[in-house]
Amino acid sequence: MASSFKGQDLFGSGGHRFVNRRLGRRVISFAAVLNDPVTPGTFESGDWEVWVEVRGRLVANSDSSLWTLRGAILAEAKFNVASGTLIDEHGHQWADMKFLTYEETGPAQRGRDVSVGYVAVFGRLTGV
Amino acid sequence: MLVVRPKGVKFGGDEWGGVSRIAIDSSSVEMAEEWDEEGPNLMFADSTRRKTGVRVYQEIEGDDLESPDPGDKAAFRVDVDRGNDADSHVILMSVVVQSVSYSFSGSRSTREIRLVAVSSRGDVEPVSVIGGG
Repeated sequence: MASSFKGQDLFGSGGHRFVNRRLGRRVISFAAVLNDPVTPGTFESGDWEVWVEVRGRLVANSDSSLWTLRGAILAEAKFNVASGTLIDEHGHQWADMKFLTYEETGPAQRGRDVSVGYVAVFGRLTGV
Repeated sequence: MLVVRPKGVKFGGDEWGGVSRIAIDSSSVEMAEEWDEEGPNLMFADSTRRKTGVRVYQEIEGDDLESPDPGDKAAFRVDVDRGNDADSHVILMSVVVQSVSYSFSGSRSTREIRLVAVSSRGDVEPVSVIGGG
């Protein structure tokens, strides 16, 4: 099945894979909080937020078509755009995710097709 | 492409005589590749940087004191004459000399010149083949 974000197939032009960022218990040092490097100890502060990366390649038959793909992605990665459900190609769902950033891994590559590698980051932000 | 015993070979204004073979090799310097989440197999590949190399093998009689230098750039022309229009061609490209080397077999000397073909723009094929009927 195709992956999707808020029901849109944003990454289906090329192969892509999902990567979970750090999960689990969030432990913070007193030294960092108190800005005092000699203070020992740590404390728990909830769990790490759920952040997921999508790493892949956009593939188009022209530069203008590649910009169309980018445009659909960037429309979701803007300030104040609503969160939604991210679904991977095996049907796993992450609810309440915001599309945080889209970054290309290098220049567009031109051969038979025009393609570019990217990393897209989604997060479930708990503080907002 | 492979040309055996071309009728004529020119590098800029210089005629190269005694050429026995010319090999024109194309290869990818960079491949764009991608995998998906469905399994282990590569599902996208594209050749996104290519290089066309040319090897010229020239039988040398006696001394050779005027060889091209690496970095020299010139128009390169190969005339292939097979006695009829259908099989006769002219191969044209702009090239830069990569290396010049010699090898020996008994009393025979062979000069190998390696060239790289360059295009005026990235989307222009570096080698033109004209003729052939």
